[in-house]
Amino acid sequence: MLTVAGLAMFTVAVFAATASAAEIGTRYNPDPLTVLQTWGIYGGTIVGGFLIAILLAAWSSRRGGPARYRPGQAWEHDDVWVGTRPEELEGAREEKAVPGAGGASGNW
Amino acid sequence: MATGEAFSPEQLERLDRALEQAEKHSGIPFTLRVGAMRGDARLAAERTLSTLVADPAREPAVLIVVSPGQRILRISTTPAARKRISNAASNLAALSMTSSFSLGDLVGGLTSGIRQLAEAAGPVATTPAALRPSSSSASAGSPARH
Repeated sequence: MLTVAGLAMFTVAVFAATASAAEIGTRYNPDPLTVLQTWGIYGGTIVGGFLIAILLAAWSSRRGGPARYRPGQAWEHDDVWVGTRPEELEGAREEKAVPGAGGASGNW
Repeated sequence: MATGEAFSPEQLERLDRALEQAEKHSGIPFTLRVGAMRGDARLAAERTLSTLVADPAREPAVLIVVSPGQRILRISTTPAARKRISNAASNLAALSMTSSFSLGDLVGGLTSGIRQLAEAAGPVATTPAALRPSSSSASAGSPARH
């Protein structure tokens, strides 16, 4: 979305500036563009669009927080507890087996 | 993956909210641990589960342990929780979670799996334990949502 908006802002400004400078000519008497102008309009727009897209992508990935988990990659983070963690509970509780415990396992 | 925070504050908030809602709905305390496991996953999870409640044989509790590096998931339920969340229901939740994990969506898989477990346990008001006056404070005044 940001990329499209950035591209639109860039191209609209370039075309508007060119048109307002009357460089394109009229419908009945078009002035020929120089090679530099042609490359500037058609090449510069494309290259500029790519540059904006690359900059926006780099900017958004930098501020995106932790990298997304990808299966197969090493997990090099500290343990994360959500909910009550055993150390927060009152009194030391001994770890022991729980006969009759249930549950399920999974792999991916 | 780079070292540092495993989850963003927003992701932690989502997980925290999912656990809170599950506990409020079912009256069963849920705990989640994400990190490496050593040895047998089932045994390690049960030993950790035994430290989460004073009497593991009688009090309900659920522990979900995920090791993304080893690609292992273990859901452990105390005997009291097992009466409400069958092993078949745990298996279904585990399957749902691992499907999301395989696509790289840890938080989405965990939140949906936790919700499934809570729904399998059912609302707290319909369980005989919750109707007793001495039931846990988490269940007090929690209306059934079904």
